[in-house]
Amino acid sequence: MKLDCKHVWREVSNYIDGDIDPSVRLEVEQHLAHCRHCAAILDSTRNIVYLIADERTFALPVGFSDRLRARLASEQEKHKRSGG
Amino acid sequence: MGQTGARNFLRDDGIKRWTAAVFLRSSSQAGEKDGPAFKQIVWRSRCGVAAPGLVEPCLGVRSTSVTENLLQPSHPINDPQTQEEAVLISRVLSGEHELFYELIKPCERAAFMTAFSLLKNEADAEEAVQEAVVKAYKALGGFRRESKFSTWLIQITLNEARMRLRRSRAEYETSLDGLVEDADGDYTPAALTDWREIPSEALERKELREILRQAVDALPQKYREVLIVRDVQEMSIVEAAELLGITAGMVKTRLFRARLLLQKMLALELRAWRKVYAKG
Repeated sequence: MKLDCKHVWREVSNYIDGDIDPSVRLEVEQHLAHCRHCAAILDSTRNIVYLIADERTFALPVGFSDRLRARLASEQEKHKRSGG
Repeated sequence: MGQTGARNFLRDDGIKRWTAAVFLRSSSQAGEKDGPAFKQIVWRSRCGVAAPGLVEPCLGVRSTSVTENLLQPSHPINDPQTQEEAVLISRVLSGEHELFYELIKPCERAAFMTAFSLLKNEADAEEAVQEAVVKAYKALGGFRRESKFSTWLIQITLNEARMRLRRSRAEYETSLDGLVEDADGDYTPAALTDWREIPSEALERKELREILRQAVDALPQKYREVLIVRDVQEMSIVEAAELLGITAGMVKTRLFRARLLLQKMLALELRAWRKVYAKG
């Protein structure tokens, strides 16, 4: 069975993850070979996923670790004083 | 090569396209298996959030400690990281309290992203992480060491963030989530006939990071959660399902929808941005 564009879109996410049955993968790739539209959708989705995953996109706020340590130290001090 | 571990994308530098994805247990394992060239393209190592069993996450607002019933690990973990954690935990419990941060440090980013994926606000997410860390510290004596500490901390953070969200969130967002989930409807991606890759170096541009973050923020919560856990924290499907208390199939479905929604929101905007960026 040949996949149409909608079927291919449904497989894009699994295809990106490599979590796809080999026979389906082959069909997807055969479709992509002649469908510029779906190939561009795959490329753009994969590119976006990669950019989202980059540590720079969601970096820790500046000073996050210092504030966390300070809060923890404060709680530990309280804990110690209370005999914990 | 483990097929259920972290995902890493492979890049075919020859044609500047992302061409494949594989599952690898870890970057170090990938390096051993495939050599230095492969190491360079492995996405990155991560805060080990591997896979002990978790009970269903707390969804309700609880006034008592949310750590009480967080974990009932089903599988002993004996890897070196866990053994190191066990030593550190013993030392902390023996009175070396200052060592507790050594347990936190490797997973503080994952904890922050977990909270941020729900709260969509840096300050709120940071508060939630601090609270979760304090709870973890106080509950450390009850931590069952069959599981990884990082998994335990992430679960506490998730519960803390959910509790805060329930306290503050307007009802309409919940109903919006439900509509999107139930509709199973229009996941038509943005129409394109070609795509020129935006390289990761472009993330040095603040405006690009903002565009991406706003799009992620705009996702319905259940999609955003899965996207963050899978694509940012790089958990496996099994890990994500356990953490979020949903099935592996739901993880895949939500991830598919999240990614296509992002593509729909971002593809045309990024293409336009790229033209400006390429000139500038």
